[in-house]
Amino acid sequence: MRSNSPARIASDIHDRTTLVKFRILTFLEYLPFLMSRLWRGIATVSLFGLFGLISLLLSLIALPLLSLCIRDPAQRRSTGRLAVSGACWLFIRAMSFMGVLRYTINGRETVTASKGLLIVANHPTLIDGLFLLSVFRNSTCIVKQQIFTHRVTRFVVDFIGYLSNNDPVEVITQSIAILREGGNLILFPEGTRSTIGKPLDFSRGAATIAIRSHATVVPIAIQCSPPTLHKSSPWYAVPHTRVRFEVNILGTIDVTDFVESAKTERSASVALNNHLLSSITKTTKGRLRENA
Amino acid sequence: MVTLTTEQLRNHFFDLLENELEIEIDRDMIKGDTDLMDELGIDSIDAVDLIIGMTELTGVRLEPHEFKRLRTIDDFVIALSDAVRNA
Repeated sequence: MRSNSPARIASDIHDRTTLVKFRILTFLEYLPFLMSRLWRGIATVSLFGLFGLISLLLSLIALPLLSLCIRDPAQRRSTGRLAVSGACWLFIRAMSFMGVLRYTINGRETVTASKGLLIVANHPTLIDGLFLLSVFRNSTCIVKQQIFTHRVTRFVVDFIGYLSNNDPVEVITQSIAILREGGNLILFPEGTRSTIGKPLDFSRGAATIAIRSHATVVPIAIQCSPPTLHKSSPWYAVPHTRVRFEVNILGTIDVTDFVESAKTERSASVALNNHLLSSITKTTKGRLRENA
Repeated sequence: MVTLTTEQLRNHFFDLLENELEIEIDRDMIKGDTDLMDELGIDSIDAVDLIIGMTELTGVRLEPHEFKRLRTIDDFVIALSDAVRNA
């Protein structure tokens, strides 16, 4: 069957005047899409520039000022995290306002506790953490070791007490300690961004931390359409249409049931990991809501 | 820090496999080049538990960059043996 693409139709037109008219009309038809993509490209570059600037200002001005004003290290960390959370919220609001993306966050009402939460999510894009940090304000993250050695970002992550992924033993022990003390922790059990076309695969780390700390687990499924900012897509690659994000908070899980029904701690963590993987996978396979 | 022979380290490693990870092994049949992940089904979290268990025994911590190259039982025992000797 022959396609009805503009190029195919144009090849069938032999009258020069009709062909010129057809090309002008086709261009005018596609102009809004081209303008939209150009605008989103400009907005994306500007906003990532703004994000870098905000990080620089936080690192060089806001956080050093906070360290002078607040002496108590715990309160200083907490205030620093609120500042980071605010910056994340501002960034995603700006992206939405500028037309780069649309987003909805569903299920906030299902999380009533505010302390000792282990937030577990899939990781399709570069900016998933920003959505989670904007919702769960006083949270710790596990970040790449490179961020701890980068001259701009290292001060921020040190100040707010994020954990480095450099040493797996330290990651497990410190995560458990944070949750037992009532802190919140955001974890991406895939370890890195998802690979498009491949099923999700979770390391047992998040489930193990949950079982050992008896934290309340908050599973979150993040969907993004069309795919963007994924592992093999550079941050400046602008999709054909405006991106839609849907962040679905899937309630809370009390790990006691898993601990009591399993013979060993290991089998409890395997069962919890399987449960998290299946519930998040099931939601990510669903269609995005039209109002997203 | 406790000084242990390679044989003692190996036996303690087997104890951890059996008692902590609850993996059934035949000590007479298992070899030094047995692959921990492919043949014993150990994942990254089990490996962390093994490192913690061995650290408690020897008082010596393996460096994080060494973790990734520990594929077999001998890799673990030799790395710990070296770390104990150099501590």
